[in-house]
Amino acid sequence: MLFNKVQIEVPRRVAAHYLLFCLTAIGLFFAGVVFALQKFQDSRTEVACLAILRRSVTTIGRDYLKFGESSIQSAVERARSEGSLAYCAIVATDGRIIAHSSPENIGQMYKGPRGEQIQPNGVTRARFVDVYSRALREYRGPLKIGNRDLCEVHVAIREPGLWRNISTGALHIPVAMIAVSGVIGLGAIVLYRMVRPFAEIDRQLCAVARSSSIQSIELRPVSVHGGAALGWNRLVDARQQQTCRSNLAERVSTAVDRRGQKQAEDILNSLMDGIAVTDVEGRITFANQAMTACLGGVDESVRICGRQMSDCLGSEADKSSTLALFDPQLQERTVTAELTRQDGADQRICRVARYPLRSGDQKSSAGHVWTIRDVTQQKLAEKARDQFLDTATHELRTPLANIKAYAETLSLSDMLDVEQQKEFCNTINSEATRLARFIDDLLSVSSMEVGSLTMDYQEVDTERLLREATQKVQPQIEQKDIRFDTVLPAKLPTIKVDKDKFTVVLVNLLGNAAKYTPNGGRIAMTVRAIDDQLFIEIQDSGVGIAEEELPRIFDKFFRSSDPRVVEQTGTGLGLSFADEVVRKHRGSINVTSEIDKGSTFTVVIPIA
Amino acid sequence: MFHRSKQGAVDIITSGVSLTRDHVDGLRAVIDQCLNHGQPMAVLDMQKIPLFDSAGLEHLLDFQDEFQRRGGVLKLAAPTPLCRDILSATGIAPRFEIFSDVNSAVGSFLR
Repeated sequence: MLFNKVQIEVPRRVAAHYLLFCLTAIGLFFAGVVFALQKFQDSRTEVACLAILRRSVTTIGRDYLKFGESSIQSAVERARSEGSLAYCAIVATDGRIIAHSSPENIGQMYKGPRGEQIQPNGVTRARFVDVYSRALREYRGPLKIGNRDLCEVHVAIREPGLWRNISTGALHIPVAMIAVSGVIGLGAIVLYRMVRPFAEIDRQLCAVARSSSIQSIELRPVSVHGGAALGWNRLVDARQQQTCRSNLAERVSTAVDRRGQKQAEDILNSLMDGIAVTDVEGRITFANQAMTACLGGVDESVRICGRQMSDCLGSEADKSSTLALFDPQLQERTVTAELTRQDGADQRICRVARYPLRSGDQKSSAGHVWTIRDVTQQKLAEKARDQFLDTATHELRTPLANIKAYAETLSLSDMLDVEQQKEFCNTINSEATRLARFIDDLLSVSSMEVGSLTMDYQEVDTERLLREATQKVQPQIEQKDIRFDTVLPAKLPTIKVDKDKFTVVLVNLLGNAAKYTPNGGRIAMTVRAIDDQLFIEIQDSGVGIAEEELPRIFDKFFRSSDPRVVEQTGTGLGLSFADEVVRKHRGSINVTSEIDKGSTFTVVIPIA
Repeated sequence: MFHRSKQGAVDIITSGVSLTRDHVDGLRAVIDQCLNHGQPMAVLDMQKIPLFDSAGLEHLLDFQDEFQRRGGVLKLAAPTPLCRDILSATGIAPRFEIFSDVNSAVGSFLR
């Protein structure tokens, strides 16, 4: 409230107070002077009147003695004019006016007030207002002849009055006022100049008092007029130096902190694992680039800081597998979970871990640190390994079981005839062959995966290679009465291939065509040389491959779920091996197919 | 020109053309598909890429940066001898993990 009023500068306040008190003093002085003057005039008037009275009494008494009673009227008139009296009168002892400066009063009874005795010789004084409203002062003195009171002389004068006294000095007042005013004004100017430096100091101190934060106020030096201004300037200088030092220390500290923070951010952003930090309320306060990409998605402008982690994880946060991550009971310990996210057409599996964040000697966590890692590939590898184990186990056990069963029967049974024995031996042989082929495929694929599959490239006669492959599949084709057509160009170029492995590729493709084509179907092998590439197209009229299974047919151990395929024996390794071998030859295998219509496999390899 | 396939969770990018200024847009389009999800993992099969030019190299580095910004990685597989020499001579080889074949490159994501 103190500072709600309008603040006047110190010099002006001082000058104003100075003038106020000076003028008050002058006013009082002036009043005193007037009062004293009044009293002085009063006293002087009385003295004058008494003198006039004495003179009048003496003159009238002398004239009375010399000229008798007739001379007192002229004496009265003379006394009045000489003394500038209001009137002069002689009153007999009986109260009758026997002489008066106003002759119409002669003979009347004197009606004035009694008055007060002011001298021992009987002189009295009376103050009254006459019938003409004049303030009069009347002095009365006895006129004695010998010891006998002859009469009383009355002399009256008009009361001087305050304004009359003032007006007597009116001519001199302006001069006095001017002189006094000049001195006062000069004093005010000198005083103003003396205190002016304090105005700036006062202004700055008022600003400090008004401000809620002293640090934000800038103090400025003032022009030096005296010790106080000099002291102020030294204080301001010291404060500025201190501010500079603290600013510098603060800037250095901020720069060091920022650099450390930047370095920490750079380190975290270099990691492939997503790292995030949440506060006690689950809001993300920091996320590295990997985490932002994982949670924020494609749009880099999406900022996940400030959002709830549970919102960012989306619908996966509500599933039972991830509930532990947000369980209030488990806030103080590490929790790990796996969540599945739909990423377009793909499914990604991420391993999420949440660790309590502890800083300093805090006993309870100040938030959590989150890590997220895409483990899809690991999961697929584990699944493939499990699938491999299942398939390998089945493919090994089945023929072994058959071999064991038939061998046991042969060894234990005495009732078998020669034909039956031959049949059992053939079965054992074919199962052993199947087992051997599976193990060969398995070894080949394993070699392929570990990169130890060696290729022995040689220039081979293409036509001869095709013929050898066809011959291996011929029995299977003839058994099912399948029509097999071959379309070859007039002259086939030589190719540089690993003869054995490439033959296996062709045998696998032709064998599949024969296996999955029903009896009486058709297989056609068309070979074309276009530019520097050789196209080998194997088309069948078999069961075909479903569209959704096409992308997976070259996957290891993959077999179609079509019952017509399942009932056929197979390891699921043939096409995988073929694809890898063709790739090793810098070629490719393409497939088109239609359910119940058949499939077409096209091998493309460069011509040597 | 550039073809994208999958091996598990890893994108395999194959091509039969040189990685030059004329063809980088095609690779860009395929790369964008790979970057369309968090933490992208991809292998560029260079078996059939005959050579690079400076634009191709520059874009390759840019693609690698974009992968890393998303917490992912782009690896190279089966470069031809000429491409390997170009990568080595330009000093870019240390920026990439280079494998002799695609399977090795894909398998490295399991480690």
